[in-house]
Amino acid sequence: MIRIVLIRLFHLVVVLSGILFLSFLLIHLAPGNFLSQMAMNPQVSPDIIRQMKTLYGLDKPFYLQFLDWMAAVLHGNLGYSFSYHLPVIQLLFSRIPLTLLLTVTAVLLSWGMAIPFAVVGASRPDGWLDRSLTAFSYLSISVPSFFLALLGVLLAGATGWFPIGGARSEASVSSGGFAGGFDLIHHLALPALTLALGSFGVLYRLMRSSVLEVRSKPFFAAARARGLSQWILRVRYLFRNALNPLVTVFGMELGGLLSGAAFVEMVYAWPGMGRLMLHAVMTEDLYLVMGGILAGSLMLLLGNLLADAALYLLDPRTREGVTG
Amino acid sequence: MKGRTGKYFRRARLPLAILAIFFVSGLFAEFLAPYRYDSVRFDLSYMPPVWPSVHSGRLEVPVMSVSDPILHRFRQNSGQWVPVRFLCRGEGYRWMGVIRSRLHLFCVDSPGRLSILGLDVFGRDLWSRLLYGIRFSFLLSISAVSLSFLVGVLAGLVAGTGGGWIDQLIMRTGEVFMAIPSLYLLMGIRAVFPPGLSTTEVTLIMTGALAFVGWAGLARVVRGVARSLRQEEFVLAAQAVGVSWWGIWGRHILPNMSYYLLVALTISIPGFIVGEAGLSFLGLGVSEPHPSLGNILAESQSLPAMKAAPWLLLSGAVIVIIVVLFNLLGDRLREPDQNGNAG
Repeated sequence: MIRIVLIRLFHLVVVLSGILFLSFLLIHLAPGNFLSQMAMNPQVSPDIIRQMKTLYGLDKPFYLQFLDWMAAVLHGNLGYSFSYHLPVIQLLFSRIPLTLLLTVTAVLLSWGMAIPFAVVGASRPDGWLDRSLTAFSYLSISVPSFFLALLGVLLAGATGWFPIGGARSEASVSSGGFAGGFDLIHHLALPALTLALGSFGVLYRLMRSSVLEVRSKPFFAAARARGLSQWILRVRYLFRNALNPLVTVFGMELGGLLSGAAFVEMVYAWPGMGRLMLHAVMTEDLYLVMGGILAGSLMLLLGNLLADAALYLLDPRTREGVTG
Repeated sequence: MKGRTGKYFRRARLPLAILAIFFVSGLFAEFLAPYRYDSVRFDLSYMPPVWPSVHSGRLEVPVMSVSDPILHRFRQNSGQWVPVRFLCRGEGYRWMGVIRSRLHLFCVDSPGRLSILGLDVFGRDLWSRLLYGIRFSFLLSISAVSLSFLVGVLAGLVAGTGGGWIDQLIMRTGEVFMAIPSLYLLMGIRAVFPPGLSTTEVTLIMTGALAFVGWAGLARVVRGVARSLRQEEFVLAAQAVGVSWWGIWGRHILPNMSYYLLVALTISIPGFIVGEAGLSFLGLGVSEPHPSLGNILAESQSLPAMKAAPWLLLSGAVIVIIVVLFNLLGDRLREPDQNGNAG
């Protein structure tokens, strides 16, 4: 058991250093550095540029620069954002909670919709409910998140039920407590629903086939023969046994969800990581872009770890190292 | 078509046929579109679709002019109709940038303006722009998929058959790529290049970036299949008589996984189409006036634009239709046939 955890941790460290290396490589490949603009100024002598290069270690060989940078990152120093005039880490910390809030709400919504629907839908395969849900999941897989978000804006504009733009309205930023919380939820509803509808399809199809498989197992037939009620059959037998594949793909799902969240944030002007990244790319704020990549990957890796832990709790087979 | 491959394709002929129609219409965009993608009519901004009708015995369209430029209201100029001509000479173009021609499937003489699906803010014809956009999206996705397949298959083969440290190196590298949310990585790659590049440069960068992001998933699939095939007797036999790795890959391993590759190809194309559209939607892809499915949709990002010209959302619908068709194709290829033989 400890061996498995150690191997996983080692993999995690390897992948993390790989990500660090990749993002450093991208910064390095970009034409020029933060001194090139200064170098073009005729009033700054080449000597000063040379001194500053030494000061910031830009004259060192590539691998030494990478090691320096890695050391800085491990100390929580991700560089300085030239467009926001703030340390990158500070900017990231102000945006990550909002992206996490959006993503986690979407996960809860999509799982909350897909699982019960799949359990009920698959109990009558090819019935009207199953057919319409399958058709709907097809649509959900195929509609890109940015298009769905545009349709959401259209809905909000036509009905006026949802506010568009930002996470809080001007009036309620200062008011805390219940009113402020309600305002946040009101702003969150449409973006989270958009994101959840987009990931519903994959989850439904997966859960449906998993439920169908469990239903064909002898233990399920035995439970049915004992005359257990529908409710107990569904909750204790179908739901718990069919959940594993869903937990397993959670990691992959989360990657798509984070990318989707970025699109949704941009259309709904939700002030999260995605909007920050887009602005950083547009203004060539490289350190901020790379900080964003690091933060995004970290969220994804942590999500994967969480899924592994959940699987460990849910499925005794993984505990005995049969599949691990 | 005969044999195994033919059977798979017969089963999937409906989505395949519709996709072929899309692709061919995109390919002949210049001919099927009455106008160039950048042909503007500033006086007809956001004109709604006006369909031709039979008028005095001929197919004609009314000449329109703006009556309220703020609310984008239009009225028919009384008594002014222009005939729709078929296989006519209109705006000159170079087909695929090479063959010079003026032939269009249909056109009308100015001051008339064909508006089958509506016009955008600059009075450019949406129908024409969609055709050009479909071509661009298809060609870019196909080249990005091919590139990512080349890299992915090669990496998967080397990892799967080579084993040992090289396997570890390739698979860990792949994991790094898969541990970064794809849009974040795409934006990171885009950030390396300065903004305001030419369309050709951006196209090349996008192709490269999409392939760069997409190869790892495929490499994993190929590696898995290659590892299991490696244990097969015919591979061991070929190895024993001294066939080179290239020979083993080309003769024994690739042909035996061709079906997996076909399915993997089909189900990965939608990701590339949506990826391209997404980047262009965010303004990181091809820029105006060149159309792609994504940047046409980006024109309707604001609520006023959506209200004035809801037809611009059609480009999103086109993306959805193409993606549905590819998913359907993938499912049809995968699912077992009536006799229960697994696909």
